[in-house]
Amino acid sequence: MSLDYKQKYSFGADYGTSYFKFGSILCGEEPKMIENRGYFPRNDNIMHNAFGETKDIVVGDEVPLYLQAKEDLTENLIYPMKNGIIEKNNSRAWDVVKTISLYGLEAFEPTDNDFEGFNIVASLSSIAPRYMYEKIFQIYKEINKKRKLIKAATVISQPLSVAIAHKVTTCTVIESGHGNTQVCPISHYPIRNAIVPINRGGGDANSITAEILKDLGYSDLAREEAFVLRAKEKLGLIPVDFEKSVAKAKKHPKKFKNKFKIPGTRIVVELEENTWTRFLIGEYVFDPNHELFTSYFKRGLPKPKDIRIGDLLFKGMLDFGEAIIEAVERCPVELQPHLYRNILLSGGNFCWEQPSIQLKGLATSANSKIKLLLRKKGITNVNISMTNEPQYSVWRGTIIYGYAVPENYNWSWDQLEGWISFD
Amino acid sequence: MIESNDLRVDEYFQSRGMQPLDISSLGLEKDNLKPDIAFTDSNNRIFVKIIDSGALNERNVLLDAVMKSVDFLKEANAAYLLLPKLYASIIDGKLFYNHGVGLLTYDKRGAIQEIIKPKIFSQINKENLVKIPEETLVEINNLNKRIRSLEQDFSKLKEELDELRVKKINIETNEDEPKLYSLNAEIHDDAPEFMKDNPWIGILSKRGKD
Ligand SMILES: Nc1ncnc2c1ncn2[C@@H]1O[C@H](COP(=O)(O)OP(=O)(O)O)[C@@H](O)[C@H]1O
Repeated sequence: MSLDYKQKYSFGADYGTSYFKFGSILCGEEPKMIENRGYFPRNDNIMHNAFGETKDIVVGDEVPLYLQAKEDLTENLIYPMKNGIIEKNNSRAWDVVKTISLYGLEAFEPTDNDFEGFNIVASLSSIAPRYMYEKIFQIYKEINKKRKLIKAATVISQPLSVAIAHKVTTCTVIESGHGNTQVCPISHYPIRNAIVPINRGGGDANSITAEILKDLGYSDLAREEAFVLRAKEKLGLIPVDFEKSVAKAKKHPKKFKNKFKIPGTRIVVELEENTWTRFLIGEYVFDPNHELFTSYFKRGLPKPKDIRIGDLLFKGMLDFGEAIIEAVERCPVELQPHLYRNILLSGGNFCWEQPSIQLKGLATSANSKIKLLLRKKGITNVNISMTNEPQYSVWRGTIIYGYAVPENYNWSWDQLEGWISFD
Repeated sequence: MIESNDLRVDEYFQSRGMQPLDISSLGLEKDNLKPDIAFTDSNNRIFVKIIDSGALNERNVLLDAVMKSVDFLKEANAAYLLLPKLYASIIDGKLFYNHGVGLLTYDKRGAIQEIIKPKIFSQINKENLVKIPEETLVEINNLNKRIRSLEQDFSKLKEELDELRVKKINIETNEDEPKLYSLNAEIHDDAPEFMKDNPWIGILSKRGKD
């Protein structure tokens, strides 16, 4: 593999919980993106199956064309990486992974004569167990059986990839996606035994948004996931001090007014005297422990649960400040200050818009919020940066990794790095 | 008519990462639990029953075959029925879905196609298995305990190793960052911004060389 070859045919594949971001180095700054999901068209008609052209799994832009009744969706629309982990025997989920991987590779397959397959760098959640690595390699091998699209493959963890994209070699990465959040200290390598996973992500913010919308009388809309997500992103505000911000908004609701019109419809959501609920959304992302949330839990808001996956406990209710401290304190003492000095926020769940200047002191940005949470616990010498375009950082890191790691470095199961060659 | 050994079943399963199992070594006592072929992917046992075109002339043969495949689940995690492609069209798929049995077909050339995926049962349904004697259970328990304590020791050791590694790395980070790397020098002006002046390129390009 010459340098030129590597430069031309590095391919990144970020298996996010809600989006699959993929593409070769030729993408430039931004990867292509499809939802990380697959639809299994109903196949009770066996004739169709044996002779017809029905697809086994539909992925990408075609999915909406196939969607049928709602009941069907829960069963046949599969988000394989929902919480970052796929069970070993979940063959449907793995089939989706295979199909989206193939979809991505085919989308970039060059016609050049020198093409002998991509050097693919897959990125998985930092808590992905070893069998997931094995499965990914196996899937790539299967893909190659039909047509050689892959020359060599490797897998890296998402937080490492973020650190690489952001050019920092010692740092703490918090990657918060739709399904979950991972805090991972890094010092040239991910420090695996310090990883703190949290079973809470953008999806949970959607859930509380849905409750708020229901209370406002938009029950029908609250059932539409896509609508709730937009409402969340438009309405949510991160409070500086939750209680003070809420009190202020209750007193002066107009100050926090924000109309939200659903594109393509005539529906406008107005919060009127309830603008204070905007802070519920933002606070919930970072710290769901305030007593105000209890009444929502009682009325049916699903409380983020502690779950055990493999030998890792994903806490549901851990606030992000506490999570960072927990992770950093698992690292050697002399490394800890360096890890606090470089905290990197990444993932869509930190993409909150900068609040308007009129709300200064009441609403704030994601990095200031993390800073405040840490300060509350006595950690002050911190530096927090928001990765620019957080949704793309993982993919960017994979491209650099593919480009830089020597091609003759064979995959090592101890180090979890190197290349598996398909030559 | 096609002979069953002309079927490309082995090829089909092996291309999916599975290995054939020697049926005689599985200790299957009852004849009705013996598949025609069996495979494993190291976690799961998959049993396959093959039906050739001659056998299918009677309607009940198929129902019978499905029921037999369901029986396989006492010894396997998944079961398939393999039949001539021609017959797939007269079959009611529900029969398979309801019982979690998978359906494979073969064509004139012996090529295999999966029509219905089987359900994978994580636990083998051994309702009519002999009871495990008490002393064996005690032994298993003891083994379990020993494994757990070994696992604990192991994760402690692993932790210590990680710590040592981090310490080593930490010493490395305190060194001056090496200045220019050959790979860095190769990055063109029109490369994406995230690749330019990226210290990781130097670090990663040395991987596997220490
Ligand atoms: N502007 C925004 N404001 C608030 N949340 C956002 C914004 N943009 C994206 N998100 C949220 O980020 C989540 C998706 O994050 P992403 O990192 O792409 O997930 P993953 O990598 O797990 O697929 C979704 O819950 C989405 O609503």
